[in-house]
Amino acid sequence: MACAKWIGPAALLLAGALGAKAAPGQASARTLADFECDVRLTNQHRASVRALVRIAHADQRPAITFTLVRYPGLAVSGIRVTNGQGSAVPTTMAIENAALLLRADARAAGEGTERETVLVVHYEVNALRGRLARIPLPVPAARSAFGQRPVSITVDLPEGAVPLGDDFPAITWRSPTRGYARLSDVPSLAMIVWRPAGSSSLAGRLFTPPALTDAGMLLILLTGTVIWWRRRKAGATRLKQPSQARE
Amino acid sequence: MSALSFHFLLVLLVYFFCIFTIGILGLRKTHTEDDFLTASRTIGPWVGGAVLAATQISAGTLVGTVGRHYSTGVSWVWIWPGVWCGWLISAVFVGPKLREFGAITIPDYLGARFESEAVRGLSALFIVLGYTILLVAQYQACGVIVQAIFGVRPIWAMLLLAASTLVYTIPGGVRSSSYIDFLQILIVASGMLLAAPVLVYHFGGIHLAGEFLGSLDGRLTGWWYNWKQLLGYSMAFGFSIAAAPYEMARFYSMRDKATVRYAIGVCFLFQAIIGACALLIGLLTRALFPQLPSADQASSIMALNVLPPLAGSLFIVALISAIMSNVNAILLVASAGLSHDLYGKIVNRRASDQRRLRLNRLCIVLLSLAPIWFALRRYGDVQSIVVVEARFLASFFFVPVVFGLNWIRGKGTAAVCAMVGGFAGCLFWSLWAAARTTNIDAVEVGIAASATLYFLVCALGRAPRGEGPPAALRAGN
Repeated sequence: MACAKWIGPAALLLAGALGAKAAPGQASARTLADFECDVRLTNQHRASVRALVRIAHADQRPAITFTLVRYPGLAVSGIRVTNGQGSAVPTTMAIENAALLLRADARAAGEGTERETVLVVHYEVNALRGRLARIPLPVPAARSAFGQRPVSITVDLPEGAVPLGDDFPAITWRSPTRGYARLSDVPSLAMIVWRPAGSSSLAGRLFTPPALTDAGMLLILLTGTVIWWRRRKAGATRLKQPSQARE
Repeated sequence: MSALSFHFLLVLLVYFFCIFTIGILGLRKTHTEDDFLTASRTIGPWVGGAVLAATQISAGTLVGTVGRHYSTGVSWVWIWPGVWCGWLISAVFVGPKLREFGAITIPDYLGARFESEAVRGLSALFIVLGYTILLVAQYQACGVIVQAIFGVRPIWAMLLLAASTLVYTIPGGVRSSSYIDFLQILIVASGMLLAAPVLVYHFGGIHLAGEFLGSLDGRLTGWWYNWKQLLGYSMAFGFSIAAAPYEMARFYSMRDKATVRYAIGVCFLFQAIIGACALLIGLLTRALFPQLPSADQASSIMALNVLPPLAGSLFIVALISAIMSNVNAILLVASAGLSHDLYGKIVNRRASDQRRLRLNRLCIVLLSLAPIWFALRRYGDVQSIVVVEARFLASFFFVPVVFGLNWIRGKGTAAVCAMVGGFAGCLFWSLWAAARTTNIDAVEVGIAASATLYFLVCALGRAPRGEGPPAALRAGN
């Protein structure tokens, strides 16, 4: 039939239209253009965070909400939001279960073009008990453009520190005390595991969760294949009931 | 070269070496169309179970379901009971009886059962169209994954996917793909089993993650969907699984009907593991990366930024391999619809076995390229495209397949009416409900229309003479 060739494309267009309607909304009028975060660990219990955020938006400068994870035993203090020139931006704080919400009124930012807002978030993080491992990062309510990598995180450790390689996100250590990560999206936390020089054992450096995860995966793959191969050779995979004759 | 790039290339090379070797070994044992489409019916229960799971666990699960959990939270997990009900229906009412029937393809079975070439042709045509939609979802998922990880344009990822799948699909057919599916399901299951605890460790605990997700949006840990919506989605997946041609075609490669039942049980086990892990991975990725531009990126971002390099590389290979196995299964069934059913049984009945085999391989190449154009346009997220395809597939095939196997009444007219009515009902409701708020899913309307027409036409037709099933149902005994 002459019209048969259009059935396929028409069906696919229809499916696509129906599918687009069914998908939960992901659209955003704001785009994360840049996120530069500096995390400085002064000792095993304390860190400071400074995050410069650049957001492109279609409307007039909106209020930008940042979300931080609230960890038990972790205190976030000294929170202030400024524009790129250091002037304070009016900010309200709200606590919801395990999240701390910062709402910065960017109309007072007074910098940049009308279609771009620059904000800088500063705060200190203190571990009330034990070592400080997970540091919450300020996640803005804006998404990066598809395929872009606007997020950069720089981590500075105290002098003499030794990173153990169990980081999130994956950090590239350019020197023993300075590391760097480039991502497409803002993570809600940075996890840095380190020890003062001379305090970590060889086992501690070798048997890290990443190494154990890699080993576990290989073990499962090899074990499954070997078990199946040996059972197959022994005929154990054939069912006990007599099978019907091949057709 | 970064750690991930090196590990990924190494893992990818080893993986492709394995699958190409299996493909070549399969070629040496594939001489006839029967060898190509049914592996000479030699597949056992564990490989068979892995095949069924790998065929269903595709980008729709690893990218789509993880992404849906990322964007809507816990409530999406309730579609799995629907999937498992579909497998139960298949185990009791479909799989063993279909295997006993002894055909090569699903249109083969339908054409013989209903003694109608119109039913054969219609079902073959719908398989080609419907599975082209599913291929669009697979290609789109591949494009998203590769672009998110490597920044490569989706078109190149899609072409690479098509080429690499063709390399092992064309030589060895179902035999090669069965053993490759077994390898793939091992990789997928192990990758997901290990990813979940790593995510929990990085965030700092499941309880805390749940509270944080509740702070982002209360519906993530509650009910994003109401029970009627979940019922509709469950039914779409369940009915489509029970009568999915690319799953049913795999039954023909198994040794006997006992093997089919055992394999479905093995498939359950793999799916339970993967379904639970998909839930955890989706939720925890949302806790770790709350503002991804697309929920479909959740799996690849998790593999890239959370897992260690080797595990992350294996997981990415698992993602790609799941897509490849699904593409492989779809291509085998769709190309058989064109070459074996439409050409070999309707257009040219005197075509030789070798001619049909050559045409089958040519159709695989053509069908692998067609969906790329649509996938590049990204009409919807991956899970939505899969849901749409599942709705139409279920509305078209469920009633004639299940009732055809289990009820002696029903001829070609009833089957044609059921197929066309189911498709039309599903289509009408999809378009009509698109602009309205309704809790009735299109698959419910499609199945109802299909069943109503089937029983109505059967009631209006003549009852079968004598006792016992029609000759076609006795063919496999």
